[in-house]
Amino acid sequence: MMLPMMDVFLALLGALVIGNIGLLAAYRKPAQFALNNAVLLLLLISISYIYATGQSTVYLGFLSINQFSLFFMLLFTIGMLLANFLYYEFAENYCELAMLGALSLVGMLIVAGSTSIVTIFLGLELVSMPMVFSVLLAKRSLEAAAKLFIMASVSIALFSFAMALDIGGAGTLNLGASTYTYLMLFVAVIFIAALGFETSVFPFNVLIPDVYEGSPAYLTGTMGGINKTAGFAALVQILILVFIAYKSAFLVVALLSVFTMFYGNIAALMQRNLKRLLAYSSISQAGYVLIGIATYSPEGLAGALFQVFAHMFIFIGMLAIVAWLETRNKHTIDDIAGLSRENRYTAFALTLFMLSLIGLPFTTGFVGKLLIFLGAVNGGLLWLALLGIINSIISVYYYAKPIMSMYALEKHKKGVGMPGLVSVVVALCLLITLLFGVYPQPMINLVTAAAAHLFA
Amino acid sequence: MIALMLMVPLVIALALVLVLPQGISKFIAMAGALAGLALLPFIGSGTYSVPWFSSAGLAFGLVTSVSQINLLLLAMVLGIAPLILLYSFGFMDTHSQQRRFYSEMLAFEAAMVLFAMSGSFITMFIAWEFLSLTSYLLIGFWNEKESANRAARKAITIVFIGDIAILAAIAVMTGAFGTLTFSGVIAALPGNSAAALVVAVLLGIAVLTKSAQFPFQEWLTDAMEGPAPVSAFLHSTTMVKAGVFLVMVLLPIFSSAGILPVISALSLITVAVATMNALKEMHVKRVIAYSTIQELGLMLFAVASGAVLAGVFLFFAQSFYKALLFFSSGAMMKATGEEDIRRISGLRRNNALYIATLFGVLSLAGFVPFDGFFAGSALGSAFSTNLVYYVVLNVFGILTSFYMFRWLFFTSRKEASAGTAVGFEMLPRSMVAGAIVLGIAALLASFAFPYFRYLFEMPYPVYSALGTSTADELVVLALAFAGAVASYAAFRKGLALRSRAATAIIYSKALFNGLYDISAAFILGIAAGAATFEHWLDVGFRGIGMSVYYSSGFIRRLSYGEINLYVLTLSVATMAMIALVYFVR
Repeated sequence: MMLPMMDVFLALLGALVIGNIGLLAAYRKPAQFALNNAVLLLLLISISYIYATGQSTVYLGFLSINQFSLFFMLLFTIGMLLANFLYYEFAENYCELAMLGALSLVGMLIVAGSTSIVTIFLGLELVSMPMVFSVLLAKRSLEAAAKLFIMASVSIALFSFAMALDIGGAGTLNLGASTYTYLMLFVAVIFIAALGFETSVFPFNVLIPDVYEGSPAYLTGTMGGINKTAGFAALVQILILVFIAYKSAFLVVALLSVFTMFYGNIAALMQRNLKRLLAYSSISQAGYVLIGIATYSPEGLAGALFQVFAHMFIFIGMLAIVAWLETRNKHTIDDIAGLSRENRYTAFALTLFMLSLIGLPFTTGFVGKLLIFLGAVNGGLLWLALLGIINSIISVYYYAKPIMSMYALEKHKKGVGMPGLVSVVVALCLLITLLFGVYPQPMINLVTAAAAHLFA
Repeated sequence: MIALMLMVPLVIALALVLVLPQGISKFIAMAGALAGLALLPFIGSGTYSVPWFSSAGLAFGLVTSVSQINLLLLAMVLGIAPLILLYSFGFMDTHSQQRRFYSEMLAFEAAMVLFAMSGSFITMFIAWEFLSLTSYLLIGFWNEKESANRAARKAITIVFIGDIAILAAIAVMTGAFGTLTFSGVIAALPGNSAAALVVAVLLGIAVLTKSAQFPFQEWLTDAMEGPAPVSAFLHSTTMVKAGVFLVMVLLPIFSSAGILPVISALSLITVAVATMNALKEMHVKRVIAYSTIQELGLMLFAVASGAVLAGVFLFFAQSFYKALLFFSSGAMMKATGEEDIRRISGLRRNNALYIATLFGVLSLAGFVPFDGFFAGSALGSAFSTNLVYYVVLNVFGILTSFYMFRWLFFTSRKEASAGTAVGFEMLPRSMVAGAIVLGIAALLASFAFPYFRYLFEMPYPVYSALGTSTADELVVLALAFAGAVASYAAFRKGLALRSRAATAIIYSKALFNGLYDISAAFILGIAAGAATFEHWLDVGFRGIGMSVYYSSGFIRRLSYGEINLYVLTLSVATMAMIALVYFVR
């Protein structure tokens, strides 16, 4: 029953890539948009169907299908669907972007379902390289593209080095638990460093705010929302599946999470530029995810996955709004003064997204943080949980400024409508943030199953 | 009916206010508040748990636990809310941001209702967090004023210290007790005294921050930057009482950890500091704010020193006259456009408001037959065996009467103030109506005293009965009278104003401050230290952020894209990580 559906799934992937390349030649924007939406929706349906059959297997020897990989595949597909909307609305070169996005998606799905470190590597390259070109396509973001490229290549170098050592140390690149050797401990650390770029972990992220700010907002949304999720999918698989016996590697993760949280939160305090502010806040959110990973327990990991899920939709939603503001030449906190007068619903949505990142109850951000902190407490990392709590309080300070600014009393503001597609994206992200905040049990079941699968 | 149903009308009203046109916001808010009040009699007592989600064997739910003390707070919140909204009809009439105001008020009320019936620490924390957030928004409501923004930031900084403390306590309790319901934690206390101490200290910090107790009292007076209905609702009758309420409900945790003496000492210091501040304060609303801090200190002192029921009665009685006095202050500010009581005059031109205000002052000062009198004498009787406490409490009593009558005498002077503002005669009816209802309530609340005395039950055994003796009643009355007479002589008859020296003292803030400083140098030092702590916290955050942003330092150059530095950092970091695991293995 499942295998035919897998064939359908792969055929859809092929259709996505080939269709996009083919239509790129024709350069018909609406046609390509329709194709992307249709295929992505069908992909979504096929993945859900496969998930519903509940089997776990390795397909054709390279694509592992299980509750962990399917969870991420669902996230990636929905994320790309939303990104596709934003590309269509905002990008000048939609056709190229859609094609590059399709390639990225293939890379992400490979990362999610990989059986060995090599496929993770290849998948990640397929994620990051098209993004470099996407940024390059936008005008005035050459510098961001260059920086992205440098970070990606450093990451490739480190990753390759780690793989070379891994081959020597373990004799295999399969995602299986490795017996403790001293060399492999170094390998684990280098893997963490290599993945530090995609997951925006301090200090491998210091160029990231630059890149996020320099790229157009619709691409920042993809980078910070979806690509980062892919990075975490890779990091989690390598750390938990291969290096679960290396406790000190997880100590490194714990320390990195502290640095990442403090770096992101403190650097965000003085930001006036909205996109850069969100870049720093996204970095600090990555720190919370690392707390969950550092517990190396199923509960902590489930919390981390929940937080990844929460962050993805919040970030895409926020950046959709920022992209819209950007088209109206509004970039800083002062520029959005009185936004509530111009577009009440947008201001409300942005407020809720930010409150969710702070950890307002009845939003996904609260549930994610609660699960992470409780996982940390139960995993004996009380100090890390307390540092996380302190950080989530610091974050109130910089989210308060844009919120206050939006609701400032500005006269002479006329109502401004938001493009329909963007509203759809924002509304969907907001709906998910609130729905799974009020009723998180289904999503908790998904992430718990995904985490349990890695530890099985 | 389960207690959570009380939130339904409020949440529905909140959603409607957000969606429907601005013009009818106030009516929806009022309807929601009234519907919430109407549902109150149908609330059954007992513990309910509404399952929310479960993860890794730990189930989370909204746990509500309703006993008499919870019902008391619920009744206070739901009963006063419609009056506050009625007052707001008049007070906020010229303000164009009606939707924002009423939605924030409704969100606050819903959070307060959830807090009043919470039965587990998770539920309590959720409500607590919403309270912090909505109070931040409401204090900074007039956010075009920089002072309002600063006050809101100060309030939330202090209050967030409490939030961190509660979260930390929750983390400790999850690890130590494995349960987060109030009853479960109280039952698990004897087994783990170390954890109990940590939890009690953390919760104690949260209590002190929320109820504006020493050394965290400063935020409450700054919070007077918010609109008057907000001060009346949040900063006198409901939110600031959350801390005291927590001690009332969770008294076994505090007593088993043995930190009650610390809490009563701190609250007594608060009373002293607040009374002295009230004596020198001339801002019409801040006087009332200091008096609120003082009474919160008294409540906490009573509860922590064993006179639980006296504390509970003060907790109840204070709501009416304190809200009323805030109503009057707001009305005076609106009528005259002035904020200093030395420049406000002519309160008597609006007789209804004057009489209501008089009721409030009489009640706060402790005149029979108002509820403040019964609260004062019950408090006195509870400590009549301890001479030191008895004398101290009564000294504060006479001082309270003195500064409150000064407040009244100044503002009800005859001469007209030359303001361009509304004027006392033109005050909206709804503002005056709210004040009158509260004045009558302050009178009627006296009749509740026998109920508290004979029928009220705390969720745990209470050993000291509530009662008054004739002697204590006479003492309270005599002191209130003495304070009033002294105030009358000094300010109404103008004895103080006639003598040049006294005028200089009253009108020169420097002299008063000097007096105050000498008498309270030590305590003031600590209080000022705590006040500056917030300041430094703020400065610290900003400074660090600023140094990252503006300095030509390493991180800034990093973040602004020097590639060689990036690669250098990256390799240093990787090597540091490798070195770390080399040593840790």
